Amino acid sequence: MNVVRLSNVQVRYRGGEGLKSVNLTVRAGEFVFLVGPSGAGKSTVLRLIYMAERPADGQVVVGRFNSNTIRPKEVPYLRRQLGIIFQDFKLLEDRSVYDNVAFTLQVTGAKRKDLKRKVLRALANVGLSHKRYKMPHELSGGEQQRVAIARALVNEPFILLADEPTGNLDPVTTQGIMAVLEKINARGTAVLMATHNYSLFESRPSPRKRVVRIENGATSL
Amino acid sequence: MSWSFFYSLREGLDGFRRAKLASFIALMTMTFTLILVGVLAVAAVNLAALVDAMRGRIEFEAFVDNGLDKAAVAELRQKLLHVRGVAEAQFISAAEAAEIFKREFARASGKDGQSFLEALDANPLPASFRISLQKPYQNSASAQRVADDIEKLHGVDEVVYRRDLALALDRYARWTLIVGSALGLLFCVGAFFLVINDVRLVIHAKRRLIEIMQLVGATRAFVRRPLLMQGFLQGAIGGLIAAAGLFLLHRLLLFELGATLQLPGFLFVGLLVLGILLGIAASYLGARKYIQ
Repeated sequence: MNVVRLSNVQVRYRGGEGLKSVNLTVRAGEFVFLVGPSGAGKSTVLRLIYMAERPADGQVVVGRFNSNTIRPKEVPYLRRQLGIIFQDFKLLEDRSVYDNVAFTLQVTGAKRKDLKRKVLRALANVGLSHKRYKMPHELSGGEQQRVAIARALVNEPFILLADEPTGNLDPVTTQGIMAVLEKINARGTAVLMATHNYSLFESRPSPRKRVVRIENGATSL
Repeated sequence: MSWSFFYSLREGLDGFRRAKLASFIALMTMTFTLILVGVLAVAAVNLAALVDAMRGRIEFEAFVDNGLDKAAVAELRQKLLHVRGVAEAQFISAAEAAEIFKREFARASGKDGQSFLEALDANPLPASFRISLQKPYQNSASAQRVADDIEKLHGVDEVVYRRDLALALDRYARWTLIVGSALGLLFCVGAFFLVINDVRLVIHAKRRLIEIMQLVGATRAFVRRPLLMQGFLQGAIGGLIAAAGLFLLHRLLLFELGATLQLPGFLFVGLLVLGILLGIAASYLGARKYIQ
C-alpha cells in the first residue's frame, strides 16, 4: 500500500529552478532514500509531501490527502500523521528535552493523561529518557537530533520525513542516527530520507531500503 | 479550564517577555488612548447634561386674547396640552403678568416697576400660556414645529421662545459629538495599529516556535490563540489602568477645582470592554496578516 505518491509533479519558481518531473512512491514500512546533489529538489519534494508547497502540475497523495483537493485548514491534520526532522533539528532552546517532545502533543490537543506516557515512550525509543530534564544546549548534536526524532515520533506517524538529518553530524554520530531510524522503520513506520550522501545507503543495506535519485528537478530509479 | 487555555495564557504572557519594548509601548499607548477616550467621554457626558439642563429651560410663551373668559382659557389649555410635544401649559393672566413684570423690573433695574406701569393708563401686558416641551422635543427643529402648531390654535396671538438658544444648543451638541467622536476614533485607530505592530514583532520573536507548531500540526487557530490572549491581556490591563487613572483624575479635579463633575460608573466598564475589544481585534488582524 502506498502511503505517499507523487505523480508527474512539477513546481515552478520565478527564478526558474523547481521540479520538472517527479514521480515517487513510498509504501507502508519502506525505507526510501531520496538521493541527489544540493539544489536537486530533495527538500522541495519533502515540502510537497507535508504540503508547505503545492505542485504547479501533477499531484501529491499522502494517506487520504490529495494536493489537488486538500483545503488549507486540513493541512495541520495531515501533518499530525507525519513526522518531520531537519538538518538543524529545530528544537526550542528555552524548553527541556521532555517539553520539546511534549510540545507536539500539547499543540495538537492530545489528552493530558496520555502525555507523560507517550513522551517517555518516544524518548525511550531514541534512548534519551535519562536526559529528559536537560536543555537542548546541554546535548550533543546527535542527541539533539534524537530529541527531534522523538518529537516527530510521539504522534505515531505512518511516515517519517527526514531532510538531511545527518548533515550536521560526524560519521560516528551519523551511524547512531541511522540505527535509530532503522529501528523505527523496523517497527513499521515508513521513512523517506533526503540526503546527498549515497554512502548512507551503501553502508547499511537492507531489503526494506530503496533509493530514488533526483537530479535537476527530476527523479530516476 | 482546558489545556489549550492555559497554554495560550502562558504563551500570551510569554509574548510580553519576548517583545518587551514593543509590548510596553503598545500597552502604554493603549492606556493613554483609553484615558483620553475616558476624558472625552466624561466631557461629553457632562456637556450633554449641561445642554439637557439648558434645553429644559426652553419655554414658549403663547400670548392670547385678553378677552378670553375662564372657560375659553380652560378649553385653550386643553388644546395646548394636546399639541404634540407640549409637556405643560401654565396660564398667566394679564394681572399676573403685571406682577411678574414688577418683580423682574425691580430686580433688573433696582427701581420700582409699579410707578412705570401706573404711568400707563391700563395694563398693556397680554395674558399668556407658559409652555414647556417634552424632552424629545427640546431641540430647535421640533420646537419650531410645536410653535407653529400652537400658533394655529384659535385664541393664540403669537408664540415666542428663545429660538437662538435652541439653535445654539443644537449646534454645540452636534459639534461636541463630531469632534469628540473624531478624536476618540483617531486615538483608537492609533492604538490599534500599534498593537498590530506589536503582534508583528512578537511573531518575529516567536517565528521559530510558530514554525515548529505549524510543522507538527497545530491548527491556525491554535497558533493565533496566544496572540489573541496577549491582545486581550494588553487591552484588559490598559483598560484597568485607564479606569484607575480616570478615577484619580476625577478625584483630583474635584479636590482642586471643587467642580461638580459627573463620572458615571458605566465608563469604567466601558473602558475595560473597549480596551479588550481593541486588543483582541488588533491581535486578530495582526495574526491573520503575519502568520501564513
